[in-house]
Amino acid sequence: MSAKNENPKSEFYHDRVVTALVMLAIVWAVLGMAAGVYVAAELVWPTLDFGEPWLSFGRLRTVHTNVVIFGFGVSALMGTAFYSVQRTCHVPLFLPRLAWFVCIAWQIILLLGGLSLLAGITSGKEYAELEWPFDIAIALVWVCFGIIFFGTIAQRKIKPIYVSNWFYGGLIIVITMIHVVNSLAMPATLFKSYSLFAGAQDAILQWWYGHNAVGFLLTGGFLGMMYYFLPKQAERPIWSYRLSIIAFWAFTYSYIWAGPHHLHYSAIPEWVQSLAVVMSLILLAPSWATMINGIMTVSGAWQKLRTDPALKFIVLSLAFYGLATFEGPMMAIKSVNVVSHFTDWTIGHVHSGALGWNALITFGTFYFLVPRLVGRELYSVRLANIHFWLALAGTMLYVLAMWGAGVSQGLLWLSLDEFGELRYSFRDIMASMPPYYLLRLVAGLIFLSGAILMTFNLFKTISGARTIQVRPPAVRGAGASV
Amino acid sequence: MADMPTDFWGGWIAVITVVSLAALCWFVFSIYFAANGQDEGEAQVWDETLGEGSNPAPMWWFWLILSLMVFSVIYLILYPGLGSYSGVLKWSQGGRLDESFASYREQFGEVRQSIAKATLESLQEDPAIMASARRVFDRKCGICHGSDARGQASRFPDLMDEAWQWGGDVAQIEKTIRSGRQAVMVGWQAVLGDDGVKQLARYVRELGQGGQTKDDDPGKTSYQQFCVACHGVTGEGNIMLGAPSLVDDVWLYGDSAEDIEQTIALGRNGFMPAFNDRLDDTQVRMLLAWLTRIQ
Ligand code: HEC
Ligand code: HEC
Ligand code: HEM
Ligand code: HEM
Repeated sequence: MSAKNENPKSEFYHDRVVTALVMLAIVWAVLGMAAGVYVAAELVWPTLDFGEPWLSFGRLRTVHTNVVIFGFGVSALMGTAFYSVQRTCHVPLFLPRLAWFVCIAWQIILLLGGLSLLAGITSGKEYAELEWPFDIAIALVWVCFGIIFFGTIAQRKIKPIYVSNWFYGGLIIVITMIHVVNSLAMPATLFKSYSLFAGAQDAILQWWYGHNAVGFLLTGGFLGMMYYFLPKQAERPIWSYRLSIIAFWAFTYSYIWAGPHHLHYSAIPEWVQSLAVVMSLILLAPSWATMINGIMTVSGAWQKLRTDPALKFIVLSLAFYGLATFEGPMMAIKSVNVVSHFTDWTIGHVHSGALGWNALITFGTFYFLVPRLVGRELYSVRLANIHFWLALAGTMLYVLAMWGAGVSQGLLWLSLDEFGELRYSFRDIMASMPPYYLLRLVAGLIFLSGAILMTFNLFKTISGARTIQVRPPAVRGAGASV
Repeated sequence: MADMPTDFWGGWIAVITVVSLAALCWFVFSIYFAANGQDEGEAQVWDETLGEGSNPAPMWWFWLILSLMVFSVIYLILYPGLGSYSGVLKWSQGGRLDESFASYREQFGEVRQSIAKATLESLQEDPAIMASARRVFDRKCGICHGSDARGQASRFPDLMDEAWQWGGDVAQIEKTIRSGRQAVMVGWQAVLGDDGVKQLARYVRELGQGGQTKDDDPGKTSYQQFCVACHGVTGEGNIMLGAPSLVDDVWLYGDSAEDIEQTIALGRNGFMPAFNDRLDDTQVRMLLAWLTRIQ
């Protein structure tokens, strides 16, 4: 796009692998959300599994979480990391062949891994269900991802490293680390292994993993996306350099401790829980620092919001980010957690983050990125605008339904009658859930139909076109190292 | 800190936590109030318009993180968080549990005592207690026996009918609930062979339906040989062994020829778990009143 000041001596950026990852992410998004809609329907009509084990809630739910997080989320993160690291370093990717390997190997892991989950093969650790052969392959792919990413940074032409790269770098280092440690296991057969950890240690480790997967993947990774694509889209510098530094370090520091808030009032030591409460609360500050930073960056360019669907998605996603990161610390307080734990409130919190933040920012980024990758206009801005409203409505409805369901469950579980017996049995409470679950199903359908519109729109934009070739521009600014 | 072999680590945890929190504070404040180095020279541009502004963080954000830090410090002074330091409030999870038990007893102790001692009739007359008992049943037993106690065919017995495999006295039902029951009926396939099983099943079925059975029925012969010990000479059953009556036409495991053949050939081992440790006296009393109420 910046043909004017290209550096003619340089090689082209490697963008074809980016295009591939973006397209694959879109496919996984639709598949994963369709699985989500299906499990949502099963919660309304339990017989929808038709007695088939592979269609049962337990298996499809795992497929849903793995496909949306690792298929959609990680493919999108890899693609956008490759795109932005080249541009912020002014060099083409280090080892582009390895980048293709990472892209393809990751898709194979997901495909076979998804099938293994459908077949009922699981290690039983949430968000780390894939069995040990997959775990080894995953570790390998992430190490390669790191080699490419940090190799590119090492060759950079601009000395200061732009903030989006810190977040992507944090994503790669932390995910590799927690994945390897949490997956340590003794294989028994090809598809069965036993974790090296047991009991309370296993629980703490599992949620150290689970929480930091949320922290450095669903939050940190996507913050990298935000720090690059939001200012690009707004065509303004990021508002405050200082806020982004403080946000990055405070975020990295406090997230690592916070995992045990998933295990309040359990058999783990009390000091572990207390530290998790404290660190979760402190986490509010860096989270909101980033939100302010993003919103203020756009604040000089509000008029763009009217015409630019991509920017609308990104700004709205920041609002949901703010919401989820306010709700999270509240839920981490023990007396609130007593109500929210074991209820659909958690599910509402998850999806206000997952739909409102992760999915929306990715949609916005793709509407920005795909036309740029192929050097064409977006096929239809109108459809993108319709998608925006569908996504907003779907997310709101989902979150409201789950808050309603979750808070009523939380209060009903705890309520006692005049003899000191629980006032409602589990069955009584579940019997009052179908209206909420139906609403969530409708919300999911709305959200999914938006995603399908986007798929159509972006594939139309791409079809018949090739990824255009761009050279790094000449370096400007104080930190130029060449 | 019982989970650590020595207090050694407790000290380290406290030190690491305090030092790293202090370092975070210092870092935040030093950057927050640093002179603005960015303004010197030409601003760095990374990608076309991509740069970094030098705006300070808004003041309310500063107050936000400051108050969160202050809150954290107070929290860690009051509650156990810094390694083996147990906090000014001496709060503990076990203590919290004792406290909530104590306040539960204070609030409900009296009424629960009176229920545990009350006659079943007086409990049965109180609709509020019966409603509460139904919920106890639903919560603890409904998963197997169904929330209406009507059982599930071939799996869990109907508790509302007249037939009591282990006895229908209050004392016997109480024993069933508190200690559980394990029924043992071995399989007879090896002894009787396919034909023997079929003949015997036909005989048992007729017995149940009150049909006249002939004396030279080969089924009757094997019945008298193998089954009387538990099910009795006339098939009336034995509550001591949990052997159900075979003449009341109530069937735990179904009344079709196949069902009965399967019972005889392979045996049955119904298991009712013990609830003594899972229910208190009040709850057992409520359940007894509810199960023996007149409908
Ligand atoms: C050791 C004692 C014992 C002997 C001997 C015995 N049974 Fe049983 N039988 C039981 C018990 C106990 C049960 C209840 C099993 C359960 O509840 O799971 C039972 C259950 C049954 C049932 C199922 C009743 C229903 O309501 O579905 C039938 C039919 C039956 N027995 C027939 C026989 C026949 C025929 C013989 C002789 C071949 C026999 N039993 C021998 C103890 C015995
Ligand atoms: C795990 C499933 C399960 C649960 C939970 C359960 N039961 Fe049972 N119960 C059984 C089975 C199975 C039998 C039949 C045992 C046999 O075959 O002898 C049974 C038998 C009984 C009997 C004896 C019936 C008779 O005819 O003599 C009573 C009474 C009873 N249960 C009451 C209760 C009560 C009250 C509760 C709740 C506190 C309860 N059960 C919970 C499975 C269960
Ligand atoms: C400051 C930030 C956040 C904090 C302190 C926080 C805190 C929490 C807490 C306390 C729970 C409930 C644990 C339980 O009771 O079991 C939870 C669950 C969860 N949160 Fe957050 N949250 C934050 C942000 C986010 C964001 C941005 C996402 C993005 C998607 C997210 C995703 C999840 C998920 C997936 C779960 C469910 C885990 C499970 O039980 O499977 N959180 N979070
Ligand atoms: C069409 C959109 C979606 C629908 C209808 C949907 C539906 C569901 C349902 C029904 C569950 C199971 C809830 C339960 O067990 O009670 C679930 C769980 C989950 N979903 Fe989604 N989902 C959607 C999109 C997403 C996306 C885009 C993400 C992530 C980026 C996501 C992440 C998760 C996670 C992490 C869980 C597990 C939560 C937990 O264990 O606490 N979902 N979803």
